[in-house]
Amino acid sequence: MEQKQLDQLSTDLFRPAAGRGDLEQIGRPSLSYWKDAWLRLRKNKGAIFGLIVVIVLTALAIFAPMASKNDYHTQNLSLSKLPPKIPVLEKVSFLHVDGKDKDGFDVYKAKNIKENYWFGTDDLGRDQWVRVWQGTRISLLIAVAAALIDLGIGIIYGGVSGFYGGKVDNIMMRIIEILIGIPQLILVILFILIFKPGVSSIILAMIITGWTGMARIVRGQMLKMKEQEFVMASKTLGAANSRLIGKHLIPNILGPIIVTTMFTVPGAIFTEAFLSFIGLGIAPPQASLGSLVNDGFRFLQTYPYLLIIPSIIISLLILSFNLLGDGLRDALDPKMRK
Amino acid sequence: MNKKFSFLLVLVLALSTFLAACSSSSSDKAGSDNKSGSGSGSGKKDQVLNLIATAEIPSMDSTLATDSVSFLVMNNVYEGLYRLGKNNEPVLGMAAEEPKVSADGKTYTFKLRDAKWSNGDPVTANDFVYSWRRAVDPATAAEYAYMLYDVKNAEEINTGKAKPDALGIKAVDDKTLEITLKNNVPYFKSLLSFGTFYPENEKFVKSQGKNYALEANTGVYNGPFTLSDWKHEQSFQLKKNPTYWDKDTVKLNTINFNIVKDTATAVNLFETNKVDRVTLNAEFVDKYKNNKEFGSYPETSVFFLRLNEKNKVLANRDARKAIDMAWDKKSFVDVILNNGSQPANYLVPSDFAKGPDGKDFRETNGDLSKLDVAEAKKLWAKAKKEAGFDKVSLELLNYDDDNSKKISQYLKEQLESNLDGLTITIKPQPFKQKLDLESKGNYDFSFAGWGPDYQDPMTFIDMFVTGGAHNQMGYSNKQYDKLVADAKGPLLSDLNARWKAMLDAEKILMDDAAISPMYQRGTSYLQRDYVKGIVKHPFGGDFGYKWASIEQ
Amino acid sequence: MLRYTLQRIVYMLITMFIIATLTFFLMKLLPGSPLKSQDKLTPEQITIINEKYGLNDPLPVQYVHYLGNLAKGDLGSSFQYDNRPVTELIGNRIGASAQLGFQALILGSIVGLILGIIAAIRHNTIFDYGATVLAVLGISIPSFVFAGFMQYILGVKLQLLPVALWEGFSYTIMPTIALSGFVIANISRFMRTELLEVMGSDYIMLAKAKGMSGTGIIIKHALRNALIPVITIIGPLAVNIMTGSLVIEQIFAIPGLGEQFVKSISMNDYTVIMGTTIFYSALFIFIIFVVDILYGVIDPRIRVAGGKK
Repeated sequence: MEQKQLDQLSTDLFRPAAGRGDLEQIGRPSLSYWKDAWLRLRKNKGAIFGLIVVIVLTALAIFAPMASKNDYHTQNLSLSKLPPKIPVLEKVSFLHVDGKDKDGFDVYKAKNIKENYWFGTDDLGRDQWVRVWQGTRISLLIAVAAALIDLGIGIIYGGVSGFYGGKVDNIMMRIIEILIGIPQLILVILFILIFKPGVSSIILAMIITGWTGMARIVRGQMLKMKEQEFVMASKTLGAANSRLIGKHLIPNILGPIIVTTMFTVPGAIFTEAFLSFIGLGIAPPQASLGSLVNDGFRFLQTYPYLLIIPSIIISLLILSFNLLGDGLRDALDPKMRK
Repeated sequence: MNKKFSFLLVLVLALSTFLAACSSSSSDKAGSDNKSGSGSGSGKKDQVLNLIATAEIPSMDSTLATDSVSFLVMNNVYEGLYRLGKNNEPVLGMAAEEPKVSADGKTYTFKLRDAKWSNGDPVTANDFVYSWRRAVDPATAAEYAYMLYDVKNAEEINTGKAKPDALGIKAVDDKTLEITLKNNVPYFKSLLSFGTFYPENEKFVKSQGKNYALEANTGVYNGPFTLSDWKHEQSFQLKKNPTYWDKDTVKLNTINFNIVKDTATAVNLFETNKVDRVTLNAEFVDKYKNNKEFGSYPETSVFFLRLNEKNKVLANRDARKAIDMAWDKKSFVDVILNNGSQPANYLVPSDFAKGPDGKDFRETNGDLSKLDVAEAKKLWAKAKKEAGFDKVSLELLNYDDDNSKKISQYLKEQLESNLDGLTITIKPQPFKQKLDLESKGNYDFSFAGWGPDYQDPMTFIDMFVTGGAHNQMGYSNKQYDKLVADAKGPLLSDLNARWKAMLDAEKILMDDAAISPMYQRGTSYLQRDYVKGIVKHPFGGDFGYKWASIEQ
Repeated sequence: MLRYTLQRIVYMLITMFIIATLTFFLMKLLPGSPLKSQDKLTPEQITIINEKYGLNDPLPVQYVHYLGNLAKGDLGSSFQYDNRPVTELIGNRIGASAQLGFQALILGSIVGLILGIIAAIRHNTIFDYGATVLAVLGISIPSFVFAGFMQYILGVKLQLLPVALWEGFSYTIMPTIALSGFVIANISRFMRTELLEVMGSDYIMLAKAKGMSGTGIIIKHALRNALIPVITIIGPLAVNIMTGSLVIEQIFAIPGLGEQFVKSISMNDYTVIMGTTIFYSALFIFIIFVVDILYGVIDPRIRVAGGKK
């Protein structure tokens, strides 16, 4: 079969090679690690989509509450539970943003309300548009802060534990087991009781046990990596421990670390939501995406927009972080460099 | 290609074996559970009522129970000397006839009727003596022992100053019971219908030891129903009691309770005909309020703001009055609670207790405060001068559930916008921690509630006497203290004067703005048309099913 | 191996002891009393009742008492459920939680592995994105929102499945699906990452060069190696599901342990909190132990004892 095909090759499939000068040139410009990563990230459509969504949502979270004339806490009970109404989109019927409630009754007309509430109002008559973006702002703040601190502690702890192995590893892992063994809930409750409820105590509460997952993963990777040939080679050549960790081990385990971080962010958003669920979340009247979804859940059958809008934003945010994370993984992996 | 296919095939097979394993392991379970028959189609014909309980039954031991689910079940499977009747008046239960009362009103002599426990034992006077002594014995550590404190020596026994057999209750013979009271309280009959006063079958309790009333078959019942099945955290079932003395009145054969904690789930079960009655929250009232199966009724719990006078601003009467008048209770109840609750401008709830004149307490005393923002602003300005402050920050202590958070936010917004220079910080705390902070007085003002212990306004009125355990805000008024003391002592023999004293005491409380009343809780529900005769009680067990039936 | 196992068991006991101690003292830091009607009782009445439960004793006495009972396997009696032994409380509730958790773990792992493998093989294609989106939905929609919609649509509107309660296999389907979303997301993401990593390694190149088919390589070489990190997360996932199922248990009215645990915390029911904590911790430590052993079995390069320098 192979033979036959070779016979049938026609000459016009061939073309003379380019001139000598071209051959001498290095086909691929020498790029720094990060520049190269960026080039590869750019080719990944999913990652770019994720990046754009994250940027847009962050921008909205920062600027939307500033731009609106309403704020997130002023109540007006006479304007409570208004359905969403967005001027142009109201013509698109399946979006249900025409200011009509689920029975098709135009509440805005009935109450003679001129202002358009894009995301409607909640049961205390607060502008949901402002609350949603204010909530996004708080959630992002909590999530990113918690993820970064987890990352820092996790890498150092897991790295040391996995790298040195033996007794050190054993003791460090037992400490982690103890930490995880104590229900997070009790620790968090104590935390919130001792400190005032607020953004910083929520972040702290999440960190107490949050970093252990990252530490375990880094350790697992470390154990795997340090048995690999290139590490042994480097060791044989007399590389110091710090060089081994910094130059060989960390870059090689960056993939799993980034993926884990991209999970820590949504994880933190949800831990916060869970805290709201058991009543220990953000202090009212401040809002977070988690607390909005939680509040909205009770309205699932009656005023579903209070649940659906924050849910969509949470989902979009997390989806984007994940797509971006995947893209970054591919882009940062030294083995994928060609 | 083939390999790929076989790989998928393996996965599919793995998945299907897993599913098969699961279904076979639980199919027998499904079979055994069907007999509880929670389908409502058959329910109609069979006099089966399907209901929801919001929590597992914490206790079926009548001396230990303290919560609404326990009292609800116990009210239907046990019976005291009296039971609350269809009109919420005490009617004869285990007592055969009205008692002989001594001239000083302190000694009651009861004749017991010929009633039986569900195991065939007769209900005797000794069963009452046994359970009452057990309740006040400090070794039992019954939390509701204080309910019996009106009985002679009960408090002394409970605090270890006397022996249990000194209690003012005596079995003259098997069917005659003599009770001696400390004071001739007028509400004693209704108290006798309360859970802590039920009899207990001594022989049975002792034979079961530690297991008494922990399972359906380790309890014994003397009420209209028996607890026939109890799957912890999941469901329980009541069946008509064939040994009940008044069994001909009882129409229902079976009442199935499923434990469901989430309101939306409960409503969905109602929608799919799994249950016959469900309690609604604010969100669902909007959806169902025009439904013909919708109803609502006021409860007897009253919620209010404790204004802690340890705080120097709140120690000022005008400041307290300003706070009480500055927020809109009506909109709050209509929009936020939206469940049949009523705005409260009083402490003693409506439809709870009637005076010697036959009039409801509330009807006589009416509303004792009102919304008046202009007046509130004036009083607030006056308070600023008197107490010497310009800006003040107060901490609102509250529970940490969703509803309490809504309430906190509303109060914060209302008070801050109506009273200049006032900032409110919200402190949500878990249930027990909130109570602890409150009892230590570590708060500025807090959201609190009170449900009655017995059917008399005094259960509300005496809360705030100087130094009282429930006066956790340092309130003190001599005139009020005296009225309460009189109503509990010398005036017991003059019920009209006593009633008047309680009316006046409430007026003083409200005039001092010791508290800022918020609302009297209400409940909205959906109930199938064919369910008739469920009686709602104002205290003790929430419902009586003795007279309930399913009508075609 | 035997020596290693024994050593680990000793460590496990020490860990349990430390957890029990920490929980006990943390518990005592929580303000408030475990009595049900704290708001109705006067301080004197509370003292009387505390006396009976030994709550007035000095802390060290209570601690020794508690450890002594623990050693005998006695976790004490509940406060909120009068005098019911804690072991019985846990025993009554663990069945439903365990069945649900197990089903969700199996379903989640299978679906997660399939999605992860598809995403890795069809890297950067529409399949990859599709699998990613599907997997991510599992963690991006809060499970209770998903459960709520599922209950309303499948249970109330279409009446395909029972709305709630716990009366047979059909009742477990919706909660299992709702719980498994989290597992699917985690497993598939990890599987994809690991598989891609393994596929880029030298021995896979070699296998390819030797002419093995793509599927063959995946089954024979890549899967086995990629599964290792995935196994490390199954342990924590299992515990996560057990403790995290409380919302799902509440929505579907399932008699499980999760809801009970949260309630006992808000009620200060010391004995139940401590009992449940110790139970969860023991479970968790045991799972980690099993995972570590499995680790050695699957990957010959890692010897669990570690430290062979």
